[in-house]
Amino acid sequence: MSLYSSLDIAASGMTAQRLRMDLIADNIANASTTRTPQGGPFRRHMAVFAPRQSPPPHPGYPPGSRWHDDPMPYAGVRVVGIAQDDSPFTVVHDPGHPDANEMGDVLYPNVDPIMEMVDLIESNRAYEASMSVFETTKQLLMRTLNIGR
Amino acid sequence: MHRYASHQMVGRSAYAGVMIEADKIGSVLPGRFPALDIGQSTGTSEIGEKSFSELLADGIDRVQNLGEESEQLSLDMALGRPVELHQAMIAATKAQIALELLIQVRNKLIEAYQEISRMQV
Repeated sequence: MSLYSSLDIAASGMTAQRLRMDLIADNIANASTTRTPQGGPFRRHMAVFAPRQSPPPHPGYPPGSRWHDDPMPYAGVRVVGIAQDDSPFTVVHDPGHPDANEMGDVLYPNVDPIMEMVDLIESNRAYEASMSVFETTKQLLMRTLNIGR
Repeated sequence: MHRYASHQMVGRSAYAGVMIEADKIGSVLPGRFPALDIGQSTGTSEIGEKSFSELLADGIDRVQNLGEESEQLSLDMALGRPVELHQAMIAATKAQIALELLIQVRNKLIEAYQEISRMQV
């Protein structure tokens, strides 16, 4: 556990939530996108998080020293992938639309703006929570440095 | 200062707050200060053979590295490269903390030295 481990873990949390916010922004912006290069309408993105593997021990720790054999078991969060939501598309009957199929139905993305806003609020709070951890840790470290002054 | 003399001086420091024996620094200083372990080629589990001046030099290197990293990130952000804002702020904070730690260690060292030099022969 190094001096900066809490700071790095909080940083990884903030990075993950920032990515999630980017995806939410993309979902909302593309909520009416009926054609994509892959064909079909836009599919909602979701971020998949997993715990980050602890980084390899510092190269300065020789094998056999206690810092080499006991690396940090926790190192924050990382994004393992961006998944696509497999829920069915919204079907709207609109024969005049350029992307209408032969039955006059248009497939719209499976993006619900209300759900996206809820996800955005949740992501915002998670980002702020990581920021609180960072601020608190930093304050404690700075006050620790004043011991005995 | 001659390396042997500095090692001896620190080892015999009677200053209560800075009772640093060079071979037990790892257990006295808070946290796992990675700089303490750099240079261990024998594979022993204790710090052992490093003098305090080398440890201080490692601390300075660490401050230098963190400072350069922070400066590089700030520069990248100013040039419009894809750098997250919180990464730049966090790098700046880590550099600041490392520098403060180095300053405090130096202050304690100087206090210990002055305490010793005030001793009547």
